[in-house]
Amino acid sequence: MKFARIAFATAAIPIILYSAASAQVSGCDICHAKSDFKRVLKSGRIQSLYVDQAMIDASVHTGKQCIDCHVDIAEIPHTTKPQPVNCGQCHYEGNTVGAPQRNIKQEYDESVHAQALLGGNTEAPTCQECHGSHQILSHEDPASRTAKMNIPRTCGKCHLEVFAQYQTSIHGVVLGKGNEDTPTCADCHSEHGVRSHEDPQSPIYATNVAQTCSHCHAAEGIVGKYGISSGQVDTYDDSFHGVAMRFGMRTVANCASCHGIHDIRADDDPASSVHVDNIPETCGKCHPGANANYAIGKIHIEAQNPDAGIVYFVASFFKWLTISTVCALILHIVLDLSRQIRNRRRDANH
Amino acid sequence: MKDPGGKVLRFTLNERFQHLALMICVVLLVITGLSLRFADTWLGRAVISLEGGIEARGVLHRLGAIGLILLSAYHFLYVVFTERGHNQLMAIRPAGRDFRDLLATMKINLGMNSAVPRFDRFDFRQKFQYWAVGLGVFSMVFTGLVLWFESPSMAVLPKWVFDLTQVIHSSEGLLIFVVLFLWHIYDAHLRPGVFPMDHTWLTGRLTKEELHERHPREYERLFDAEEEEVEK
Repeated sequence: MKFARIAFATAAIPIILYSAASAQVSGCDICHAKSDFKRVLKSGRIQSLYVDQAMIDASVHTGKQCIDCHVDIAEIPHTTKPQPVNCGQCHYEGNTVGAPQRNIKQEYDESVHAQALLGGNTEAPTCQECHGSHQILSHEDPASRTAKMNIPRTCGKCHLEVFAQYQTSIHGVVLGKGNEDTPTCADCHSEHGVRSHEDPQSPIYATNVAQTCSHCHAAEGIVGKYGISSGQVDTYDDSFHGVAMRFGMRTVANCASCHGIHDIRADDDPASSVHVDNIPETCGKCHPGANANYAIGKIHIEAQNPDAGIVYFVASFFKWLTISTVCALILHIVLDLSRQIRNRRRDANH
Repeated sequence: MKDPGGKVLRFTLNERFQHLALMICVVLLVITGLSLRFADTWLGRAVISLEGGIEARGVLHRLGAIGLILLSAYHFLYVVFTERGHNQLMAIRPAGRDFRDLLATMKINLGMNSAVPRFDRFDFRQKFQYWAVGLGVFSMVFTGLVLWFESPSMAVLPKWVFDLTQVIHSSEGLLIFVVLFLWHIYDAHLRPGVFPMDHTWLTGRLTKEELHERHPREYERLFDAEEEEVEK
């Protein structure tokens, strides 16, 4: 009994100490609420250390104490620079503090961003680069850095060239008009788990591209609103390209091979890779010697659809020819058999 | 062409080999072709994986095509430049009688009264099947080559003609399969009287009775003259 009591007391000491420390650290605002609180970095730059309480109150983390995130601060004034906040301490599935029930940290750990960070790239983004720190807003808040309208700019802080391409693409132009049906970076690349296009689990891996585009381009409720056919993914699936792709041939064309990636444009845009004048060059990437013939006739056709014109009529002709041939041959078998039976009966009667 | 065993040689060894080669090529082409047409069904996927995957399927299909093209060329030379082959070609020419035989057969099958048609060396169905196979092989080889060599063909053909070629090749392949399965297999295997198999394609021979029953005109030409000679 005595031993157990000692063991309990020993175990309780750090807990009590920790609670005491937490309780002590409550006066951060003594310094950090001063708007001119700052320090001079070695580089000579001045870093403001002011934390606007109103900003935190307006954020998703309203009500949290400083030390809920800055867990390494045990006393004030603190003598060392606080460690970067580890968001994963709350943002995991099963947390009890009210954070979303998602294993976001795990998703991030598998992303190219986390891999780059592990590889020693100090520029690689952690949570804060995209979400901010004290001012984190829900992605549903239009002012959030991760609001749909702001995502390209958030990613564009590092991916400048891609951002510029996206801005002039049909998706970017439409987003610029305030339309949220159009995809931004995260719709194709996913959010926390951004993977390389060479990773088979990536939504932009060659064999996954059609599936990714189909989220919108096979949805009548999305592209249908703008007069864009929702059958383009089906017709692709029907084509040689689509069939070969489904069987794992990575060398055949996927959506992006012809339409471009960040620079996708409408087919009537002269700068589009699928504009009629650019088709020879686009198809020529894989089919040497591609010429204007490649643009004579619809590209996305479905033989079962009257839109396919003569291809549809010939396919229908063969369909009915085959059906009537089957019927005629079955009839022939029945008639031939019945004749043979008649003959046998007649022979038997004789 | 008679031999002492009371049997009549209808197809020479050379002709039987041509038929065997055609059978092997067509079976290979039908299996590898239809598995692509039905690549989205479980059966299509299963057959493609048996064929060694989508690329191996294509290689097998093209091997079958090369076989069929070589066979066609050989057959063409055979019927044009050999006496035996040429005589066979002449015998399988369509004639007016074939149409009358067709009508008579249909009447009999429908239970109406008609004289039983008396066939010569090739009956109207055999003739039709021969020429249908010829036409089928020609158009399948032609459309198949367009699809095989897609870059040279697209250099001269617009995209829509290429699409059309693909639809024709694929649909005709299915049609050929249906005809072979429901007609030729019935004729040569399942029909009462020949079940389980008409052995002519292997032995090349019919008995005199079978010849008399199925090809009475040819029988008369071969044997009645002989009997007359004997009588003299």
